[in-house]
Amino acid sequence: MTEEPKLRGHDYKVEIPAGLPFKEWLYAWLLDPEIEGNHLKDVDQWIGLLIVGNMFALLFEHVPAVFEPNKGWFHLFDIISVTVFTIEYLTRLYLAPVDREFRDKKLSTLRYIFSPFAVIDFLAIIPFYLQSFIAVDLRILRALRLLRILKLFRVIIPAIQEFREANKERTFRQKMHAIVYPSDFGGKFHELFDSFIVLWVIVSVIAVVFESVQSIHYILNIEFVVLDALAVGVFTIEYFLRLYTCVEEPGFEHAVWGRLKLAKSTSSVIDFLAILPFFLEVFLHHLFDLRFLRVFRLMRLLKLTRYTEATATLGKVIAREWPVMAASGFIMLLLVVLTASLGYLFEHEAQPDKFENIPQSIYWAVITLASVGYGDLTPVTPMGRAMTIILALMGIGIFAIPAALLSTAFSDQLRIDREKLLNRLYEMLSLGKLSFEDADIINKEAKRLHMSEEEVQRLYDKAKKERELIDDVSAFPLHKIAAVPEHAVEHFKTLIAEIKELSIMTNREQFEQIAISKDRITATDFALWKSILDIIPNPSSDSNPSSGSNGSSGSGTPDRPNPNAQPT
Amino acid sequence: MEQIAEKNSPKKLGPTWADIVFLVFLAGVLVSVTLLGRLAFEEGMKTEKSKENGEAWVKWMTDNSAERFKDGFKPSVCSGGPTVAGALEHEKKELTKAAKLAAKKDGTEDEPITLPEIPIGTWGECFKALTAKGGPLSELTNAFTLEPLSLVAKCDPADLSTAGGFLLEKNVNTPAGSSIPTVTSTLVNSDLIIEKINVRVTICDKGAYPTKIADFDF
Repeated sequence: MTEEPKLRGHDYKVEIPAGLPFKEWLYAWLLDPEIEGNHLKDVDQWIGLLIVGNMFALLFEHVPAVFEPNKGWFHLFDIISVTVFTIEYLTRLYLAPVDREFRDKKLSTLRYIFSPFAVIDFLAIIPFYLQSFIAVDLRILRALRLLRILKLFRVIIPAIQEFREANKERTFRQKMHAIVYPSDFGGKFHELFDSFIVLWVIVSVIAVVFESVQSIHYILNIEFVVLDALAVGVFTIEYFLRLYTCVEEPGFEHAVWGRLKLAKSTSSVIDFLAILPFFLEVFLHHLFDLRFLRVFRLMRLLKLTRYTEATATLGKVIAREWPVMAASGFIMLLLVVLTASLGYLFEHEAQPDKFENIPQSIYWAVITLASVGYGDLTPVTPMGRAMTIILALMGIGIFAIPAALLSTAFSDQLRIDREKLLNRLYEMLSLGKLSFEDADIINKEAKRLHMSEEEVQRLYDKAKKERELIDDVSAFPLHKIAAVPEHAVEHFKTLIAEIKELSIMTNREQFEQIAISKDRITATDFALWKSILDIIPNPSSDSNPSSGSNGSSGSGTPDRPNPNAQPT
Repeated sequence: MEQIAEKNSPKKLGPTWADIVFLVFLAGVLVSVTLLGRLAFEEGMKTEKSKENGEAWVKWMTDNSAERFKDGFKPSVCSGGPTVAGALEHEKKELTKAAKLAAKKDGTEDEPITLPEIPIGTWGECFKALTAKGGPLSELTNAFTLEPLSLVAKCDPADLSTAGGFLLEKNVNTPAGSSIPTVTSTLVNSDLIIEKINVRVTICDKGAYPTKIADFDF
């Protein structure tokens, strides 16, 4: 029996059979790498985050101004981390006999204990317990805690192995491309690379935000400098890697023009702007005041747009709705200028300092129309106030247009994307069922569109139903069926089957009597009817003997059909 | 399908010359970023050194904020209290009287009197005394210019020569009901040091932006 491909939404969770022994069930539910949709990914993710948290804790412990007043919190975090790592270690130890890697070997638990990953896990927690029994120098203890970082290898090494396997027959540049760009060859290693970049983006943006807090900047000035240099190092390498390997991307194949094309793309410009302030500040700080450039480091946040579809959708939506939005913008502009002019006209004499000129009134107009109403500029004349009432009411409608447009366009875009997926499913179902490759494509697309498993299934059912409907050629007009000989043959078979069905269901004798006596069918048609019927036994005569008595003759067939009868 | 075609095509799988050139370039970029990072670090350390200068000043001033109102405090130009002010004023009067008498005796009454220099307790004098050779804060230097520490009127990003400079300000409470609780004004060299005031010590960082060190009574 062949296995059916499964369609999964972003919320797919595998159901582990409850009948399994607890150990096997727990392994399958939590750690089995072969079962897609279990909790292994969550475990890896949370352990990874805890390791990163430990790295930062270790860094901040070296800053007395941060560490000394928060010693208790640091200690608590350390205890939580070690507790989690210990639970993880003991769980893996407990599950070693059912672990795919060790279950077929003798002394599986012992073998697990001495496996490289288990040794790393053990080294990550043992210094904490050692300090309870032996007086260990705090500096040595901190250095030993660095071993926790090695736990990341549990994720990195399998990813590298998978990457090497997938890229065995590929060139150096293709391998680099697979790391940096999404492709069929990148696998988990590409995901790790993306996560690494995202982590640096988040860390560097948080650093930029906190740098603006005087009290934090005072304490962590040097740490911020080092962090920025490291972030720029990472982003610079990423930028050049993208530029070098982009020729492997479709549409960027030319060695020079392809790279130039990429350099001009929005995402590349963002990447470039993310690193530029650092170089400018280092080179030119003694000539100009370039502190304002630091704010541009927040542009790094835009790097995240590469990893989310939301911005791409927003781009599509704006591009699609641009004419309407431009028209709405024009109306807004018209209204603002008109309002400002009227405001100036009515209020200038009463408040010459506030409504000094039309440009100054524009500020008041925008604040009023947008329903912000700071209240720093208010009309005092009766005409001015009357106009403000009308404007405020108009503003609600006019300023809401772009928001409404965007929201409608967003849901439209979502509908279009889902329709595309439906069409794709529809095409894939031409053979009657989905292949594993097709299911994989659909699953990826469903994940991208953030569709739940239920939604994907509903879409699949819809596509299947439509496909079945379209496969029924009888629903087509006859000339369309006749245009395709295959369809014509199928249709002919359907018609014959229908005649057979009719003959079984009706009373043959009465049928023939009426057909002949009332000149309903031609002799040729009658002969055809008879030839079809020759291969089918008369059910009415077999199953319903009483019907025979109702017939006109024993044979049940007339001697001669009417040749003048009109064809039906 | 594409994958199979790709696998079947004969290819040199190791790094090509272009790859090697790129790797060398990437290594160069890494080295450049490291060097520039180090440069930024050194500049950052200069700001740290300036902060340490400011903290040393704050430490000395907070340690001596009570002491300076006691008799025999050294350096005397930094001592405070109404008695000191009165003594200085008295000394000035005495010297003027003596000079006038001497002028009368010499018959040079019409000529302007020149008084001998009286060590008056001003912020400028106090700063000079503290940073002079043998003074308690004489070791401090401007991390950016490597010259002895100097007082600046304000940290001015448009004038990068003020980087590493040292700014003393006076915090004065505003009357109750004001929108801002205190007003801060720069202490100039000629301001008297005799009264106890709330002082703000600020240093100018790499970009000549002010970095507040502390507010305290002195």
